[in-house]
Amino acid sequence: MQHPSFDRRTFLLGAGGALTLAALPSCSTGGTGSEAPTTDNSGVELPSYIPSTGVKPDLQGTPEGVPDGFFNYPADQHRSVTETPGAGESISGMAMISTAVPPTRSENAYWRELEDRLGVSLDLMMTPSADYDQKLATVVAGGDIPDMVQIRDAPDLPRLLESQFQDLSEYLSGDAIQDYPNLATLPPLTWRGAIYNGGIYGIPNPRQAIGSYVFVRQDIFDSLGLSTEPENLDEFLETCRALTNAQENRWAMGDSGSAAALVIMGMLSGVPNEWRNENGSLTHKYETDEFARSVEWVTQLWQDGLMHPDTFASSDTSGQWFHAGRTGIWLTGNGHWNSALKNHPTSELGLMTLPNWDGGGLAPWRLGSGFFSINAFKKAEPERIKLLLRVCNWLAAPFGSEENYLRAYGLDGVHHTVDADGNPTLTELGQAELRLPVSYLAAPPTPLYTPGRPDDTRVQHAYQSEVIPVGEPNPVIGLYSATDADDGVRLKQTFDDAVNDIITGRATISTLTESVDAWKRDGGDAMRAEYEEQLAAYPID
Amino acid sequence: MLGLPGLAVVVLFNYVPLLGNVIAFKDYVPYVGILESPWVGWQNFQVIFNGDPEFLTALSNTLIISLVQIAFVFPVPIALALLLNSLVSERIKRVVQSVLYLPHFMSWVVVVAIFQHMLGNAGLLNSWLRSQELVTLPIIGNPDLFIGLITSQVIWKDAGWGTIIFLAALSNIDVQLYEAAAVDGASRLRQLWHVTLPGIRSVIFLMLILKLGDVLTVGFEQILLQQGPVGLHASEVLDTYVYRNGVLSGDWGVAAAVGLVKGLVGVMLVLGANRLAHVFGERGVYSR
Repeated sequence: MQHPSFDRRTFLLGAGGALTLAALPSCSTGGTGSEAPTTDNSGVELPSYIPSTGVKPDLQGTPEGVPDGFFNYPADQHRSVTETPGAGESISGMAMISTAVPPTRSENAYWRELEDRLGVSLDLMMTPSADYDQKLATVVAGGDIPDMVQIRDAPDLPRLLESQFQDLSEYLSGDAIQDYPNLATLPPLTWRGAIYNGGIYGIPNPRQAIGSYVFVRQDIFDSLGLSTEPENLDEFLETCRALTNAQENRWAMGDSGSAAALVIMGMLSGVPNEWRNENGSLTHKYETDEFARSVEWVTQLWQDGLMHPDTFASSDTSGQWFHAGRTGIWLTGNGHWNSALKNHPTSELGLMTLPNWDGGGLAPWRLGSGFFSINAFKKAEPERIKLLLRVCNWLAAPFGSEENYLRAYGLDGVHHTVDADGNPTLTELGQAELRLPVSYLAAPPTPLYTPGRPDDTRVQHAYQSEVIPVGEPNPVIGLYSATDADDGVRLKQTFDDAVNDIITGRATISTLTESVDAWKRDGGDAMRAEYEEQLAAYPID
Repeated sequence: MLGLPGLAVVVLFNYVPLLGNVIAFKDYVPYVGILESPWVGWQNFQVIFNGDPEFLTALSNTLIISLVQIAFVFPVPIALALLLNSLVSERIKRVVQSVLYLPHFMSWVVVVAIFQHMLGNAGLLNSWLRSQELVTLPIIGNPDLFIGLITSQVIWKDAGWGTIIFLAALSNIDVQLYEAAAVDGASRLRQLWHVTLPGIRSVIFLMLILKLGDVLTVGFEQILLQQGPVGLHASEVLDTYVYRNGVLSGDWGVAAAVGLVKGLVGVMLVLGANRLAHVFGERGVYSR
């Protein structure tokens, strides 16, 4: 299931970027043989951005991050890679999988076809996403690291990358990426997630800039005659009240914990995307009055019984609630649109825009990080690294290319069937065999395209066109704070717990100030100083 | 001589890993290894000695939950075993036993989910109450009821399984003692007091001593899964504290330090309780 997972993403972003040795208290004892990451990020040149021009979209995207929209799969598929990447070498990879595992290679025509086109034999270790971090730790500790490893998060990530994985800067920085034109179609924001220790440490798995959608059950909204475009806080709360009917087991929203509600109410209130950057000085969202206000609003939602009563139960069943009609509003990753069509065809989806609380237009939108994970390469000879880059270049073939079509839909007549407009539908065999998680190794930016449902593309494109212009990025993406990496998760949990105490009525709103002070004292201020120092050395454009 | 392979296995898997505790004194970084990680002395123990408030909360919650569970959970299998023992029909006894054992084999995830679906705020009970327009009972999510909730879960899940050892002890009591007592005119209750309980006393002491060794360990999975609704203040215990601070934030040194102290306290409690048992003339875990 797609889930926004704000904690993790924030953490990963915090961990992204430069690591100066002096910033790591543990290294100051020195002389222990732990290799010190040596450079900061100011020397990194991001790969040049050369968007794909192979196909003309039905709805044009924007440089700010609205993706291209397609009604049908482009008819003339061009070849984006002229030479077979490999010459019979054997390469290995490791990636997560969130479905059942696909059939093994000997019984998987898709896998064999990919290998054939890539010119390599591709061994892929697949681990369920829930166990992935543990598996990664085991593999690293065991020392037998595959050539390519998907990494989302790991303790002490910069040092792990430095000690085991290849700095790809010399192959990808600036115009060097022209050797791999398909990788050059990844936008600069996406690459920021792969920057550590002053180098580029992997191929990012791109995500659309919008990050998440505020999904609504359009069928429920329609039957109650509700608008998905409330114009101020009161109208939003009115909508929540109208959605809620406890006797019928239906509430306005519900997630695992208060994070999603805090993000929604935070946008209405004008809470910054983690940090607010004013000419190089940072203010964390916790410190803002807007945040305190959003906590009060979520408290009100909870006390008025507008949130699912099991919101604070630990297991995350928010997707089930939404699709069962138990909740009407759900904030989650925007990629959920297409997976919902497949898994929950009976839920009619809609999207809600959020207004400024006082009615002055749309609220600032909290943009996503632009990436999901990175694919890091084990240290190797230049020839080997170039081979892996060529393989990734093939896998990142842009939408509308022959390679992309094969990667996404397999073989015609075997893995998919084509309708009159040229839109592929995966067959049962295709759905099973295409579970092979190669897209985590490398993938192009995804456009908006829902096979056979042009209106879905229109709705999403219109929504993104409205929301992206008011989008706010997290200003510390690609920067590194040792304090955030070491203590960020723990501090956040302590703080979240205090906020949940307020929301559920175990504490009063007046305790929020104490929690903010404690957060600042225990590490918040140190994070700010570290980020500000880097922001000065490495301004984000 | 024949014991050597066994000895090797014990040393290799039980004693060699103990050496890993050395990371409690290091700023351990998995990727550089134990030997290469810098030595930091007692720094990791600061949370314990300096009384980090979160640590103290976790410690006091752990002790309270432990004591409540010793008081309320520990006697349940004994009582159950006595009840089972008094069943005359072997067949009924076996059926009842099987029914009681079963929950032990469910994982905590399942048990917690069952309780959630029965007693949760949108669960069976509360949905019914709501549909009848009655007041709902927020059992899950009420910090005051948390200890009661997890204690009843432990009883439901493990009380049946806990009877096994006591039933074995009961079956070892010489039947002639009952016959003699009956001849002397002792009632059932008298027999229980003068024959049955003394007969299993040493086993009860043994189990209690072992239980004391675990006094700083209370159900990790069970509690971690249920912290959300009640908040950390009511539910943080040492194991979840270690998980949060050590495993989640990658602070392995602190996690190992707390674990080490926990282990030492456990050993001391077992030895102390054992000595006390000897004073009372019991055999305890081992005899002198």
